[in-house]
Amino acid sequence: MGCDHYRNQIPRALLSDLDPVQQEALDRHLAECVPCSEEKELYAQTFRRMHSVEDLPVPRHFLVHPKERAANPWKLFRGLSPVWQGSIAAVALILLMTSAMAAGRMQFKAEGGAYTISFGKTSQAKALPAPAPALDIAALEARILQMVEEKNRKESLEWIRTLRAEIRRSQKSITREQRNLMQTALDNLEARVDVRLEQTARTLDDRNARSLAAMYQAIKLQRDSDLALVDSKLTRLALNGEIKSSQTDAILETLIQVAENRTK
Amino acid sequence: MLASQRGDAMAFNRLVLRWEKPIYNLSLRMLQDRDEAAESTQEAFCSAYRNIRRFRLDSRFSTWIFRIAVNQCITRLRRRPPGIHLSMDDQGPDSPLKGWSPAQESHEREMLLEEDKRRVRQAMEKLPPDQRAVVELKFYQELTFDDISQVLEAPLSTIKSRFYSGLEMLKLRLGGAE
Repeated sequence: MGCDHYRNQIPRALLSDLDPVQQEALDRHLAECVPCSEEKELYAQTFRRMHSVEDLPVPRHFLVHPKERAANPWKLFRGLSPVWQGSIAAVALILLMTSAMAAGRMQFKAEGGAYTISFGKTSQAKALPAPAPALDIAALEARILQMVEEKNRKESLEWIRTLRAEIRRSQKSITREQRNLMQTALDNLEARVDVRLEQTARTLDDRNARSLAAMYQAIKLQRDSDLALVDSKLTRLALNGEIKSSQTDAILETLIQVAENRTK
Repeated sequence: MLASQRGDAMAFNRLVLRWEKPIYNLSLRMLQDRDEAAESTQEAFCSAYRNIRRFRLDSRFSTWIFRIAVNQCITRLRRRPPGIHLSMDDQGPDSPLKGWSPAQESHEREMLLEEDKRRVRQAMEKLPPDQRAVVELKFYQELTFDDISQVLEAPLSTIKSRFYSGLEMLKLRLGGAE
């Protein structure tokens, strides 16, 4: 296989896209072929440079608004809750019937349990009662639109509040890089604390040793002083002749032992 | 996703917060212009939201949103008049080089790093849009070739061919003494 074959495999090798047999064959070739080895280094440099371009933070959030989905009134209607859908459907039906009544002069009569609906003027000779005043459709429409607008406004405000809370919550979460940095900082801090603890322990040990040595010295001095005092008193007594008993040495020895026990 | 398909905008916006950084940086590297990248990113998410019901739940959202974003970028690149390339190296307000002068900065290593990044951006800008998309998805979004094939809806062999051709061009422009 020629160099062309191996050169085609170099970028795949850098992407770990070769099987072990192919990788081994390539490695053997690169060990012997200087131009191909240089080609691999060029690819490696290219990869390094490509990876030097890091991601930038976003300049702002790219959140969508619920109204984005309302491409047409039918989709807006389908997006409402069933209660609102029923209400709007009922109002639309009433409007339709009212319009039909107004346009076709529909009359509805209930006589002795029977109901009749008729259109146009009746053929009855007697004067008909004056028609009911037409409903103010425009006002009704305005009222319905006002209610829908009020509901949308409330929903928008609620949505904005929730959105802000979500953004605050997402800003509190940290990225993986920040987590790694924090972990590294914590590890360094832990190492410093360990060193400080070791130093403190050594210092304490040194102080303890010095304190014990000083204490021992003080006790030794006190013991020597006590013994000297006892010795001088006994010598005085012996000189004055008050104690001539042969037990003087035994008493002295006993006192010395007592003094020694005190210092232990 | 289910909540988003039922019309829960907040659920969809959670997906936006998760994916906005990779999509924005993909758009930025494809278009090499901050403002256009921001527009393209917003349009991609709005388009995804409008068509959320068409999303099949057995596929991955990442594949889908990458597809929308890449298509947005390629459309914008094809609309650009030939020969006019917008460069991110202009010192806008967010440029890392803004207000920086060699006399103030004594860190030679950082200078070389910025120069490397500039060369990479220029080299990427010269790639055809389809090769640029594959290189971006492979290098920076770390997708497999199979994933890229699904994103771009092209055969695997075509994707690999575009990638290695693009890589060869980048090597010619970027490979050299460090």
